Amino acid sequence: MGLKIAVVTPWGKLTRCGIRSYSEALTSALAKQGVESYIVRLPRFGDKTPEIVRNVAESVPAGKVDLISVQHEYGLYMNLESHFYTELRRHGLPIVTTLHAVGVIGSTDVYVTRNSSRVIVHNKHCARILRREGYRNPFIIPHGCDFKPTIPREEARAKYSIPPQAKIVGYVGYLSEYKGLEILIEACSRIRDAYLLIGGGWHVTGPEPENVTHLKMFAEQRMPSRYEFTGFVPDEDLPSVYGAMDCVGYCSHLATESGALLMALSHGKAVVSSPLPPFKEKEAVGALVTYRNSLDLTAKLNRLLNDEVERKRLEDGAKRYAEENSWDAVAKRHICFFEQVLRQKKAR
Amino acid sequence: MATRLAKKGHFVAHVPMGRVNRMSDIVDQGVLITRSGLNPWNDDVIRRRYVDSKADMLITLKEPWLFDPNGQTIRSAINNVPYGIIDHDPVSPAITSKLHTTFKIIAPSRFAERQLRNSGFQNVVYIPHGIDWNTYKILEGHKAECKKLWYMKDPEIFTGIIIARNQGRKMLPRQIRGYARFLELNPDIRKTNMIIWSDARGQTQADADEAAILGISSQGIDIMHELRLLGLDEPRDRITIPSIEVISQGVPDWSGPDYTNAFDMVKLYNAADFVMLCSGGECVGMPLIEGASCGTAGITTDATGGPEHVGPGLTVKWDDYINLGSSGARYFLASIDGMAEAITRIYNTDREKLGHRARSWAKRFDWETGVMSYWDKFLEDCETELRPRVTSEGVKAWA
Repeated sequence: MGLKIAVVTPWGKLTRCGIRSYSEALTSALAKQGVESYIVRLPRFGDKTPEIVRNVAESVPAGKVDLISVQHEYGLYMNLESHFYTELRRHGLPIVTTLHAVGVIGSTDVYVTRNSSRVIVHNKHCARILRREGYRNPFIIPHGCDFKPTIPREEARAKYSIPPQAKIVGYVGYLSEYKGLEILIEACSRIRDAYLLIGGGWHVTGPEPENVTHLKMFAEQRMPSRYEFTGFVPDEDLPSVYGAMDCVGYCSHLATESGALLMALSHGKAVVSSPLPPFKEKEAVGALVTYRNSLDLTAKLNRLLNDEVERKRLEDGAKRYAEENSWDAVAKRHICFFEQVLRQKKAR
Repeated sequence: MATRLAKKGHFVAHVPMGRVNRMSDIVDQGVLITRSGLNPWNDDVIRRRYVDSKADMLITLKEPWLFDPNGQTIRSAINNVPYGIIDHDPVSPAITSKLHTTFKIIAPSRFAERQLRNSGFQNVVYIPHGIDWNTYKILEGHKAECKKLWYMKDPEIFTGIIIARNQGRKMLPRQIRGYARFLELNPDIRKTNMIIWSDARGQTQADADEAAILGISSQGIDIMHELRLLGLDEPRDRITIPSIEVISQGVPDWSGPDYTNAFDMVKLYNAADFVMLCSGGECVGMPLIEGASCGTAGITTDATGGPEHVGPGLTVKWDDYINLGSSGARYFLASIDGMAEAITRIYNTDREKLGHRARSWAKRFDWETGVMSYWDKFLEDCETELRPRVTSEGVKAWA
């Protein structure tokens, strides 16, 4: 019999959430390896109360699974981790928590690590933070990638009525405040013949958030008629949106890992990203380059737009990274780790 | 719906709106009926009830616009499944603004489904409203008795019925004018009657003020005054208006085959020759379906959800509309001549044959044979989304 796990996570094909996308990709890859995942759906939106999170924990099908995997991010639990984990521990099963963000609320990190059998983080930077907070044993499993070739540039550009000779810098991801898109706009505006294609929406349907309106105003001011906001990009349109771009700028102010950035690498794009530690780790293996400041970003984007050799080098690096960290590989590492946790549990 | 779902093995807790149950929890026909909240829409208790019931979904059967944007129904991290009740076109932002974080939205008409999808909602599921087709039926051979029961002395009298709350959207004055025009154009038709099954006084301004908060909006009219203005107060047998007490207390769906004392809705529909619902807009228009099921064809405005619920009955073109505030949402004004013409066509047709066609058509709205299949599919899909088991064979529900 294969491994059976419960996964506590946001879920649902219409739930716009990075953790949901991660869980869906991971459980699909685990399924290919014979693992059965019982999803325990954590509501993504709205105010949570102790009773709501306790109900979620209680609904884990404990009799059917060997282990509980919790996909954790601060906003999902709204400081109610104590209620959630207290109830979850009653099942008496090993709890493996994947911390998608660390270091923001130290007390939460400490609580979660103490109440989980083991903790998974995505990179060395996150592991360092946890160690600094006193947790000695974080296990690193990178965020998975799903290498997908883009459609040919000319074809993709025809789809969006973009001239074939245009120089396009792009971004695809949620348009949140901390994504630093104003830096990208500022940097691109200095490249006279560059166009900026921004794909992505926000987490719920409904009117445009204020920050997006401001971004559009800023883009209009700095680079009139040289930008385009596509809105939310469904998964099936990603190969054509990325296909239309020459390179990608990713300017997040804050990140412990980024599904959006990995998505760009998965589509084999040359990426210039902000110099945050998780991205520096990727730069070290040749998957992308980071910038020092806005002028440096302009210079690096400009080079990628004009230097095919450099662009090809980065595209190859992105592709290599995506293949090395494919979901299949990530799933196998999860299985090994889960089995190790179960062995340790039995040994006790 | 609740009792039928309970019979299928689902756990259903009903939290009655309007502060109806101030006593303890009770179980009726397999449904747990909990205490209501002090807030008329249970916005003060709904999260507690949801959690205590260990519910997978909260289904709210009330116009979404009335819920407080900061109340428990909208704000809580629960799987909220509101009914997308839309009586106007295009859908108002007062409704859509309450739906952005919903788990699913139930559209009780194709019209509502289209409106919501055009507004960017992908989580809309069409589930029609249901009727008990075996209860709402043609009382073969008893039409004259039904008319007599409902105070019409002459069994030959050509009878229409308007069943509508006396509020602005229902356009009662306009519908009455349509009937008046029919009388004017057909002076030879002397034996006619229109039953206006509504509160003759209308929703007052005070009611309307509260109703505006509740989202129903707009006040009604004094029907008697309107009839006097239109010259329809004499002779008295041309219009029938029930007493206010009857309207407020209501009558049962069916109270047995007693045609002398047992008043009920089925006999009321059977007493009529047509159902008129030329309102400003309807999401569904239940009287049209109930009437059709009783073999009484309907007449409705050719806008919003009416046409898809009138079946073999008739639609009346609208010749104007009114805007509801700044959102651009509209109520439609059915043509007065068009209403008169539609009533004339019903008068001149083989009504018995039309009635049987209407009844056959209405079967699709039968709870047991039609509507529950939509619920079964919906709940099965929800279960797969709420409790999915991901294996190499695909995704299936684990519960």
